[in-house]
This record gives sequence, C-alpha cells and structure tokens, in this order.
Amino acid sequence: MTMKPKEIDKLKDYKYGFTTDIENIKSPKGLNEETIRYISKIKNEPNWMLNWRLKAFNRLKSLKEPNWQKPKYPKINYQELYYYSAPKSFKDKPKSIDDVDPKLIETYKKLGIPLEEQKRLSGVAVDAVFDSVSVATTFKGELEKLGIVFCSISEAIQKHPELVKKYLGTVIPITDHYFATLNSAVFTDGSFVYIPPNVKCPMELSTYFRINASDTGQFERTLIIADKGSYVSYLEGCTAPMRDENQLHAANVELIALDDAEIKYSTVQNWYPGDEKGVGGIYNFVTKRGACRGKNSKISWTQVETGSAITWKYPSCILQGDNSVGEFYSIAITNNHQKADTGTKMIHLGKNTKSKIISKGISAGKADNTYRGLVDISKRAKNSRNYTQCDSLLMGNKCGAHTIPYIKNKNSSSTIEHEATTSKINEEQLYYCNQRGMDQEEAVSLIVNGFCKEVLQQLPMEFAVEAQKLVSISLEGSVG
Amino acid sequence: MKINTSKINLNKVKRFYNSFLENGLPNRKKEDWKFTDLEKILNSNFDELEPLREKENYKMEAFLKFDHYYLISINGELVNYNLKLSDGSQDKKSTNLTKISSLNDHPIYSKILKSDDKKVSSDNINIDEMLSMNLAFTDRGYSFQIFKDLDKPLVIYNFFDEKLENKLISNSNLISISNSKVKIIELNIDKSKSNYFKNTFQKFQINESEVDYYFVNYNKSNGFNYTKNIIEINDSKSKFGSKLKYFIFGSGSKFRKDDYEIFLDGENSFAKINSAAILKKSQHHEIKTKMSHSEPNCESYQKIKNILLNDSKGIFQGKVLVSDRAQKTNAYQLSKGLILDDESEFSTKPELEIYADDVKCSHGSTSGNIDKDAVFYLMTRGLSKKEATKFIIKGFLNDVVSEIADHQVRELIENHLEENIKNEN
Repeated sequence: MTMKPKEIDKLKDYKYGFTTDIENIKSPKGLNEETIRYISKIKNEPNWMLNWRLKAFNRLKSLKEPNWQKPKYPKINYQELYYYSAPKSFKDKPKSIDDVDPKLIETYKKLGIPLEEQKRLSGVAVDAVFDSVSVATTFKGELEKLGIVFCSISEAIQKHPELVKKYLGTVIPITDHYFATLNSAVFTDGSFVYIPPNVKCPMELSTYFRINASDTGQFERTLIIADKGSYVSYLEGCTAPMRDENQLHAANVELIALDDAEIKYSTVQNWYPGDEKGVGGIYNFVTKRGACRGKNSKISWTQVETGSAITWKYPSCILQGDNSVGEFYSIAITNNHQKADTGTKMIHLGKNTKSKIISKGISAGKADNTYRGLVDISKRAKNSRNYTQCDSLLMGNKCGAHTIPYIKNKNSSSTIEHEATTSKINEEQLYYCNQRGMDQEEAVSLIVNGFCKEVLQQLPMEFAVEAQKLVSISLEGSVG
Repeated sequence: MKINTSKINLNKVKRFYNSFLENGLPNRKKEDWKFTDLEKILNSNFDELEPLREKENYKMEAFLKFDHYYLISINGELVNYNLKLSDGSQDKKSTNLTKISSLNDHPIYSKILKSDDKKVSSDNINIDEMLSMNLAFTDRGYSFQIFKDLDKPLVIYNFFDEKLENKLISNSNLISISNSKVKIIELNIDKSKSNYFKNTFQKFQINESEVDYYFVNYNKSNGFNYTKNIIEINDSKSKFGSKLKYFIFGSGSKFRKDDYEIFLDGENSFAKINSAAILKKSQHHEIKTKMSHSEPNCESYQKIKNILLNDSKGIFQGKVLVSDRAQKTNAYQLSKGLILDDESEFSTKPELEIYADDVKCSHGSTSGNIDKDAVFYLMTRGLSKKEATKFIIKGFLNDVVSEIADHQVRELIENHLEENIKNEN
C-alpha cells in the first residue's frame, strides 16, 4: 500500500506536529517492508536511513520475542498494529472535557496539571503536539547560541545527518534484542540532543510523550550525545489516555557521554496502567542504554515508574571510559494488576569505574514488582566499585515483590556490595501518623514518600513535586 | 563427550536415557546453569564417560577418633555400617537401613518407573536433565530412617578409589529422620587420581526433628560432582517446629555443584545453610539453593563464604520463595567472596520471590579483596604480611565455623580449613 503523493506532500508541511488535517492518516496496518518504506518516505528520509531500517527489519525476521521475563503477556499480533502513529477519527474521542472519565480529571487535578493540559492529555484537544517540539521552538534561539541541538530525531536526520550517522545504533545496535530491533526498523519520532564540547546546558530539556490513537504502537527513538566536558539534564514524561486494549510502547533511548561529560536522564512514566480488573493499559517495553565512552564521564538514570500494565525496562550503563560513573535511581510502583520487571545493568569495562544502584519497589493490590539487575565487573576494570540497594515494600498478600540481581566480580581489586530487603509498612509508623490525626491513606502516602526519598531527591525540582503526588495517587485504594 | 553404554542394559530405563539424550547436558542457556555450563565443562574434560558398574566389596574402616555410628560406602556403594544404638536396640523402631542396588529398591524411583508421568509431583520432584541421567544409570545408594535420638554422631564415610578414571557414578540416597535429634557428618574421602563425574540425587525428610548435618570434602580430588538435594522439613502433627542446620565444606573438589531445594512445609520450622570454602587451582564450585517457605512463622538463614585464588570460580545462586500463606516469615541470606587474584571470579544471584506481606526478608552479597587497612593494622601489631593475610582469611571463614555447636565437629572442620589455607601463599 502506498499513499497518494498529494497526501505525503501535505504531511511534509507538518514537520513539527500533527494537526487536525492529518489526524486520519495512518500507515498501512502490519509489519512489513512496505510499512517501513512508507514511514521512511513520509518522513522524507535519506536513503541511508531507509537502508538502516531495512537492515534492522531483516534482522528482526530471524529474532524471537524474549520470554525470560516474569510478567507474561498475551501474544502481540504485530500485523494488527499501525506503525505510524496517527489518532483515530474524532467520533471515538470525548467531545469535551465533560465527557472525560471524572476519575481521570480527578487525577489531573491532583497532579496540578492545568485545564488546557488536561484537555490535551485526555485526548479532547485538537492538536497533538509533542512538548519537546514546542519547548525546542520556544527556547530554540537561546539553545542555538550555545550550539546545542535539540530537535526531533526526524529533523536531526535531515539537518545533522553526520551526527546521527555517527552515533545512532552504537549503543543499542540493530542486532540487539527483539523489541530494540523492532524499534530500529519502525521508529517514528523522538528527540535528538547534541551538546557541544564544554557547554553546560542552562536548562532542563524535556519531552512529553503520549500515546493517543488506538491500535498503534509507539516507537520513539531518543539519542543524546554529550560531547567532551559538557553537561545536560533531560526529562521525559509519559501519559496515555484510557483504552480497553493493550498498546505497545517500544522505545529506544541511547545516551553517549564523551570525556568529562555528564548526562542526567529522568523519567516519570505514567502510562495508562489498565483498570482495576487489569483490562487495557500500556505494554512499556523500552530499551534504554547509556555509554560512558570517555574518561571521567557520568550517566545517571532516575526513573519513577507508576504507570503501564507491564513495565519491562532496564536503563543500563556501559562504563567504558576510565573513571566513569553510572548511577541508577528507581521507584517502581505497581497496583491492581500491574506488573513491573525493571532494573539496570552496570557493565564495568574501564578502570576505576563506579556505579550505584538504588531501587525502591512498591507493590499493592494484585501487582507483581520485580527488580532485575546485572553488575558485571570485567577483568580489565581494576579498582571498580558498585553499591546496590534494593528495597521492596508489600501492601497486602495478593501482590508479589521479587529481587533478581546477577552479580559478577572478575578481578581482585574491585568491590561489590549488594543488599536487598523486603517488608511491609511498619505498623508503628502508621499508628504514629494516625495518632497525629492523619487518615490511613495520608499516612501511607507519607511513609511511602519517605521510603522513596532517596530517589525522589535525585529528580529535578518540578518533577519531584509531580512524582511525589504520583506516588500517592498510584497507591490510592490499596490500603485498608 | 559421549556416554559409553555398550556394557549395560538400558531396557528398563530406556525412556529416561532417551530423554537425557534428547535434552543433553544443561548449558548456560538454562537459567539454573547460567554460571556453570556443564555441557562445556564436561566436554572439555572428558571424551567419554563410562557408567561405573563394578561394585567394590573390600572393607574400609571408620577412622574418626571420637565415638560414632557409621555408614561406609565405596564409590557410592554401601559396604559397611554400624547403626546399633548404644542402648542395645537395633529394631526397626529406632533405625532402619536399606541398600539400594537398582531402581526397584528405591522407594521414589520405583514409583517413577511404574508411572508414565513425566513428573512425580507429590514428591517435590521434577525430572530434569540431571535427574533423567541419574534415573538412567543409578545402580547404587542407600536409604535409612531414624526414629530415635542418636546419642552419638552418625558419620557417613564416602570413599572413592583409584579405579575411577572417566567413570560416571550415578547414585541416590534417601534419609528420613522422625522424632529425633541427630548429628550427621558426611565425609568424602577421595583417593582417585583422575577425573570422574558423579551425579547424585538425595532426598531428606525431616519430621519433628532437630538435625545438624555437616558435609565435608576431606581431601583434594579431581572429581566432578553434581548433587541434587531435596530437603522436606515437615511437621504436620505437632507444629513443634523442626530444625535443620546444614553445613557445607566443599574445598578441594575440582568441580562441584551442590543444588539444594528446601521445603519448609511445617509451621515454625527452621532451616540454615552455611558454607565456607577455599577455592584454588581452577576449581569451580557452585552452591544453589531454593528456600521455599510455604507455611507461616518459619525462619531460614543462608550464609555462603568463599575465598578465591588461582583462577578459581565461586558461584552462589540462592532463592528465597515465600508463598502468600507464609506470613511472619524471616528469611536472610548472605554471600561473600574474597577474591585474592585477578584470574578468579565470584558470581552471585541472590533472589527474593515474595508473595506475603508480613515478612522480613533480605539478602546481602559482597565481593572484593582483603581490606588493606586491616592488613596494615595487623602489621603494625607485629604480624608479617603473610600472617596478617592468613589471620584475616581465617576470621572470614570463622564466621561460619563458629556456628558449629559441637566441638568435635568444629575441630574436624577447623583442621580441614587450616589444611587448605596452609597449602597457599
């Protein structure tokens, strides 16, 4: 299936976002070479990009979906998905804010999201602009002065092909696992950041992702390069409207830090988790990997995972440069029927490399929460160090909390320390809070926030506030 | 690597043999064998294995100096025993011993043999590659029951002789202890000079009892050992709370994988697994545990300590599983590796799988070299560097050894470890 040239022309005009004009445009259903050519064409990509995608697609044919993970999911029919995200027609959507589920509005109010934003998030609004693009436009001038490139990956492919060519797929190769390869073949958009040498990015760069249409998979690709001596802090937020079907989100995020550079990547993930009975929700199968290529480089991942029916991701650091540092701070909250299998990989290759992992898992309802991680200190990585702490909190005896770390130490000058605990909320603390006049829910929220504090304080200010509220909202109804 | 089956009759066990051939030896693609690729290890050490069929019948003497009951086996074959209780009773109400020389003598295997089921679920047994191999070749073992307190420790002497080159030993032992308090010491005395592979399946049933079990590999050997242990701790009647303390001292073997599945099926049960080992000269040791808590108010402790030298590999895979019924569980696990050279590796996978909320479960795992400050401190007190290192190593292992209540056993183990430290540095 191909599109009429006229329609494609029309699309080109909307490089920065989709308007009502293109709302009903979809790629052909199904995963095949046609779809990939279609995506590439619609984005007006150069030939090398198309070839790259096709190479990934060829590789994909020989790959199988992994099945070692704890949360099992019904088989995804990849031929029934749309790979170029475009919202469904308007008749399915709420016509005004009044039609939106009041529960959702309640949540937004608690989050302090302004009404305009609420409309947009619940799928009422007409435009579906990525925040990243609007932010980029707003501050584009200021960023350009410093030589910072912050744009969508599609734009980067057009304007900075040399950078994209040099770095894309060098951390997550197209031969990686099934979902990463799938993403390489069909990715639609995402962010691109390049920070030139010795530049400290003066503001937090942020993106807001959302899945809007039904039957679509979202495959965004983010590539962040911090050149020598630079610094950047990047925020990512995710939401999706409520739908009955499960939707697939398979993103790839690649970070590259050169000598003395630092990247801080924060995520607040609040995809739709499905309802109380476990119907619907997002499958969040994301590959995030950072390479500390240069000496003294640092990559720090912070994530607050409260949404998604199934979360399955391991933001990892490959510590190649000597003296490089990897950090991973995570809060994963699962309620109702949610399942999370998340953690990190710290692969120490350079000398004197350090890594730190702090993971807090909270399980309520009938949810399952798994920390899975790898710390691998290779023979060459002399004088390396790792410290890992995984704490799990259980609420009720219908849920599960699991810890599965793999720890490998292959030389005598490196030290690894790992500890994990699992317990329930301390009743004395609860009693104390109740005594001071807090109701059960407030008390739990306070204690849980305290439990997560180590991670929350890693987040940039504006995110920390949102995250704290999210923590309490996610656990609503799980007590008592 | 091939198994030479030309001299043996596999008619009765054809299906186990076929299932073993079909699945092959476990390799690193299997989650349980991630750190120990048995296929690769055996292939690089053996061209051909021949199932051992010769049964030795010469007498070996019990040699430990203190007073004890004993069982003596040679190459897995039971040859001598003394289970005559001091009060004169040796009726079936106090102890009972059966020699196993075919699958039919084996209470569990005979059941598996009769049924067509792939699994014998009631016995917590899952027929995997290693068990089907064991089922296909087992021709020796013992089964004993104890119903009464033992006033002296019971020592199981397992001798291995010189005739084991490229042999495959398959054996299976069953131990059942009810209403008694016993101390069991299992000693492996290995005189073989060459490579062999031993695949053992053992099952322990502990009912309303207190059991202290010490496994000691008494000397260096080229043996490759895999042992699967199923341990059921159950006291359905009294809720008295059985106690098991299991100690593993495996230093000396070239290859070991000791796999323990412990089922805490009785309320108030207690289980402890402790291990201390000094690994060197390309030795590869894995301890794998699965502690299944299925009833409330149980406690489990695991402590694994490894010293690693000269290209050795130490592995610990430990899982704590707490089912939703098992409220008020306390489960702890600690694994520590002291890596003394750059060719050695320490890998661990401590795992928690928890479905009950009112529990306290934790694990810790550390690895690294000797603390330089500690060595420095001892040197300022007049110790040489060598002495200081030895002192710290001893202290590191003493954490496990000091938990041995019985002084005779503790002495035995201290000597065993001392012997292993002495040969070093």
